[in-house]
Amino acid sequence: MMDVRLTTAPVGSAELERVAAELGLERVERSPWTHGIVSLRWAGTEGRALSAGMDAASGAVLLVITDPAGELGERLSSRLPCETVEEVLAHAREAQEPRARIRAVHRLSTLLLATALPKEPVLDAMGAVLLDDEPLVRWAAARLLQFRADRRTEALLAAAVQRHDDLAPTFERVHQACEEAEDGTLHDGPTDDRHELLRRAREGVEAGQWRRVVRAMDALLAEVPDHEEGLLLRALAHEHAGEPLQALALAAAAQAEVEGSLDFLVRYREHNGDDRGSDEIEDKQAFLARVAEHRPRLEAALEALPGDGDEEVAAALVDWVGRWGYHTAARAAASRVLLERLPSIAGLLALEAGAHGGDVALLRRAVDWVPDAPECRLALARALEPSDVAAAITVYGDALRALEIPEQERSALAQRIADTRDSSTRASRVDVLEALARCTYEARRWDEAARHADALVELEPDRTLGWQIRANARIFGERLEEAAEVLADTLAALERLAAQDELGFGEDPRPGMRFNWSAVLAKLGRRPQALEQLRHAVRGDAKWGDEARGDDFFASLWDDADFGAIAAGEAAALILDEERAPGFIEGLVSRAIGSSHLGREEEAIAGCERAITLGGALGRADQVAKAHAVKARTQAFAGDLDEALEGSRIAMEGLERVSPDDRAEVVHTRGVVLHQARRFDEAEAAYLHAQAIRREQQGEGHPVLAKGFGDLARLAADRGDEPSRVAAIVEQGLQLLDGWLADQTRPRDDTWLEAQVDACTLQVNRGHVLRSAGELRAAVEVMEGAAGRIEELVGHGGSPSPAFLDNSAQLARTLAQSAPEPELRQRAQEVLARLETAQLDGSPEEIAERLFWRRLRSLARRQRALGVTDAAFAEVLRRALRGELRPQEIEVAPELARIPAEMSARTQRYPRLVVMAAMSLSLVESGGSSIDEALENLEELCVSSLYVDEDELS
Amino acid sequence: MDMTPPSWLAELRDDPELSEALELTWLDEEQSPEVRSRFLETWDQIPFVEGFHQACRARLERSVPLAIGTRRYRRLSRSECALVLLLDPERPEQPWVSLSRAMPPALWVRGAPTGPGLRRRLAPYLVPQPPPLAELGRTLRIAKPIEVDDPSLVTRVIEGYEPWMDDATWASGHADDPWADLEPEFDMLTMHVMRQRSLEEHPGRFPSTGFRSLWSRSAMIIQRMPSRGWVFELRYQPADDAQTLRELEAQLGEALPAHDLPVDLVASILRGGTLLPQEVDRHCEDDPQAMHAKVSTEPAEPTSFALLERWMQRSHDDPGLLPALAELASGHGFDALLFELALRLPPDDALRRELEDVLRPQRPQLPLEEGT
Repeated sequence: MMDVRLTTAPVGSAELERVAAELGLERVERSPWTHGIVSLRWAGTEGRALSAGMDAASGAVLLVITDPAGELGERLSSRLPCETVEEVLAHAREAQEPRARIRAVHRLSTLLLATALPKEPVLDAMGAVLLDDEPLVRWAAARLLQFRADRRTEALLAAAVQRHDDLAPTFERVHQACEEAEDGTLHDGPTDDRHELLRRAREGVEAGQWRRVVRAMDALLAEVPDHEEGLLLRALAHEHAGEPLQALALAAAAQAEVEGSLDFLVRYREHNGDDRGSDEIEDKQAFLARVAEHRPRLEAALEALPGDGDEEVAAALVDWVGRWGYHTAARAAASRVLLERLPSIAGLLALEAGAHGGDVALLRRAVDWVPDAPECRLALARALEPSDVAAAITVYGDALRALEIPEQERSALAQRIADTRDSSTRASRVDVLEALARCTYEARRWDEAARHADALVELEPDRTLGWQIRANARIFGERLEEAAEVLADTLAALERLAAQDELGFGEDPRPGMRFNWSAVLAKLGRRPQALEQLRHAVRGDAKWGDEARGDDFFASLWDDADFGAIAAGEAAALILDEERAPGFIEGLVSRAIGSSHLGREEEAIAGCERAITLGGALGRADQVAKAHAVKARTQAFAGDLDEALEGSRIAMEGLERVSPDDRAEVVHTRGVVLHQARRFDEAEAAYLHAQAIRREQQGEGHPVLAKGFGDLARLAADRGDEPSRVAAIVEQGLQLLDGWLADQTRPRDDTWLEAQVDACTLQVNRGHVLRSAGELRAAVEVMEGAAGRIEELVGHGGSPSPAFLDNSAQLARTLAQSAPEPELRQRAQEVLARLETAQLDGSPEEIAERLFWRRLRSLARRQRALGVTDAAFAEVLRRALRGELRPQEIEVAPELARIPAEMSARTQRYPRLVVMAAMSLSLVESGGSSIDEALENLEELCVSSLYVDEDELS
Repeated sequence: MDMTPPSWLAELRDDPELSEALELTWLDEEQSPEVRSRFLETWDQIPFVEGFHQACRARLERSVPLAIGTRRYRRLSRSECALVLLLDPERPEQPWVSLSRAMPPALWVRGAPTGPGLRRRLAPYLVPQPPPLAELGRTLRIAKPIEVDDPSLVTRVIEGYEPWMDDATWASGHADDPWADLEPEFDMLTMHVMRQRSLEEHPGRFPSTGFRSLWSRSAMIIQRMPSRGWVFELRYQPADDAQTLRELEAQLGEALPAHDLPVDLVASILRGGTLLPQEVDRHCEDDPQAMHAKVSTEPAEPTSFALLERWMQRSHDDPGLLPALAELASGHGFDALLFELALRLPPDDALRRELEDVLRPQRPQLPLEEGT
């Protein structure tokens, strides 16, 4: 037995829990607050249960009591002040004052939460309130009913609107909800989830809720117009709406798309000879069987339809044709089934149906129907091309003439056809000219081909075929002087397109065209130019050498020794004129060094090899040695030690011929390679040799010498020398650099930056040495210095390598973990933080900005370690912003002294920072945030202000 | 300080059932200081009030880690949290149990000197699987006066500093923990889909983030209330750590909202202060902050409705308060109060006109894009 009651006094959940416990009930559920309602449920023995719905709107609790024995309701009433449904209804009827009526209608609404309660009496009582002359009273009733979706509520509102039109919005809302409830779409929120849309449509088909199907499938097909099941389900909705033309068109489109992909899958499986794709094939076959179930019925409905489709249907189909785009199977299938039923667009339908599969007869009808549509003529010409090129050329010509008619002067259907295509598929002069050039070329109508190709490249200089036909047609037409000129343009165009990566698919046409050019030049007796182009051709593809020896265009050169060497592909013969120019080989080596440093090893080695070949052929021993050295170094770091050793040995053989500037580098590289090969003593000798050359050339104090000390120290460490010896070498390098860098007048150029990088490296190495010797305090101090150097380097736009920074950070981390004293660990931790900061990406301004804030945070952390709370530090910072620091504070933390000036500079860029900083720091002072968070937020604001306007930031 | 090992240590070490049940690995003389130094390293990164932090650190420094036991893993990041048995030389009667290196040592669970006793003491924290929220018998909603607006700041603190809280969270779109039914090991795709779904908010609920503790499997649902306040809803099974919690209160100089809370929930409500329910009840009739807290922690309750009604009636003497009260009523769905308030105001009153604009029947707003 079920009993429903409503509380009459403010009873909270604690009270409910207490009463339920007294009645021997145990709570089993409590819902979250949802639209102002919290539900609780308790269960007891023998089927007894209590549900409570606390309704914020009315301030009352709905109690639903289940008790087979029928006594729980009375026991509850004796403990909780409540009334029955009848009493609630009676009180609503009796309510006189507007306030009482408002409260009463809310209490009635709470009763509606009881799902098992008959709703009619409650709704009728609320309906009476809708007629109230006091607006606030009837609005209260309307507000409570606005989300209902039942016809009774709709009728009550319809009646109320007759009297008070301010209730119209509520009526409309409920009316629409009723409609949607019947359609099944009431709870279908917006979604782009295809699975969800399909689920809705499938459910809609099952339940006969066709508007639900339409809504879901229109949403799906708007995104995926060729979705096969989407098209079929939409077709069924059209059928149900008595629209057999659209139904059949969409079903046919779906079928054609599936047949096309099934055919592909089957052929693909046959080609592979295995059962891959079988599941998909089965799915496609099942789908076709499903279409086959519906299709006869749809066709019968079409047969039974008297007359043709109207303009609305035609417009819908034109729209679909446009939306299907490249899915020509769908376009053709839908068009074919409606071909005889939509006379107003028959030409368009014939074009679509005929173009897919090349139905010449149908396309001729299309041309007859829409003679001014170039698309129809273009499609017909394409269909004719395989069997009758001459006829195709004629029709292409017709298409060209049709294109000359301005679009706005063409027939309405011709314009409509154009509208179904986007700019890439619409008939264009370029497409027609290219087809004409190609067809006339294939038909050996050389002059025509040359003329069409000339027009084509003028109109569209990015089509490679146009350039090729333009030149080749002249060659075969024996217009050689012209061809020679045209080929120069052609190669220039092809090189341009190659640089833009727009040569298109397939074989690179350039070697072939170089060969053609060479042939023409040979025939014209221009030997040097002919040989140069042949070099290009053979370097592009060796087959052109053989071709040249058998092609009588080259007959005048067959006895030429240079020609023979080129055709045979001899390396020396293939050197181009430009490669013999001064500086060319140097450029190759220089670019190889750059590639090697960037880790592009293959590129570096290829460049070196080219330089070695060219240098060898041209007697440039200096560049050959240098290229060998660069290649050897690259190979050594790539792990190819044997090759590297051999290469560096060859480089050393040519040392005497290397320029003095490069000699130290070649010797040093030999050292690097030997070092990598762990031939330490030989490596050391090479390093020292290189140092001696540098000293001789650059002088004793030049920073370039520090690199040598760095490598010597590394070598000593790798060899297992005494740490003191390693340290001494590092010290030598550092002293040299410190001395050089101490001169503040030096320009901050590349040499300065490189010296600074080397100093950072040596300093960190010094830290490693000290750490391994157990001198942790000294190691931390050195790393503090290293961090400062790195920051200075970054501040001047230098960028230490990530690997170096990782290595440095690792040392700092080790010190932070292993130092015995907390103070030392803290300092190492600070170094680590600074090094991590240095790894930040971004512009120099951003890095400088971040450094400022990170240092401030570092200061805050140090102060915290000394017992200064975040709140206290925030207070000091706030005073620092106002320039009110106390002397003792600056004494304790000198960094604070710079803050007013730093903040002032930032405020000029971002005025609102004043307010934001004050707010953030106040929040820290009140305990609402940590100083780290506050400073991080301010950092992000200031960094953002580097890139965007303040208005955008706000 | 007496450095003699307590008598229970050998008994516990020699109890194979205990070692198996708690998956204990006993630490030797070298390992123990290493574990303690990791504890210290972690604790030094955990922000807390200065004095409390120091006191906890002192306890850590003097205590001796004895064994590492059961591990629990966050469901997304798989980061782990291990149970550790410790000896506190100042309180050597029984072992103490840490549930996380980041949890204040003041919240170590008091162990027991025997194997069966220790297992009994830890049973509330070794709940194997997260139960449905409905099975967590206690619900406690507390107001937190946190002065931040961005909910992600609050959740980031928990995810960053409270490793005993799982990182598989859920938003208000889920009335229960949606991750609970999932197998512990799930693939990346499932995780991605679940992450997306778990973040869905319910348009008819307060925006929230639900957390599950890894040990007691309690739930903590953080709600952003319309009054801009924060409410932490705690769902849990009562635990028996009242003595530890009383000692914590003494150490902090602050009361806790209940003494039957599991320590892994208590550890997550220590930051940012708490408005105690009993204090809220005491002052809600005359203190606006307490009234806000009462309404926020007990939304939809007729008692809150009645409280707000009394405040509205009294505010006729202080009409400046009415707009804020109307906003509070509106945010919590106390609709009858809004209509009644509008009715009581003179027709030309600005607030009445504002309320009428809200309460008048309206067509649903069309979701038009900007510029249309």
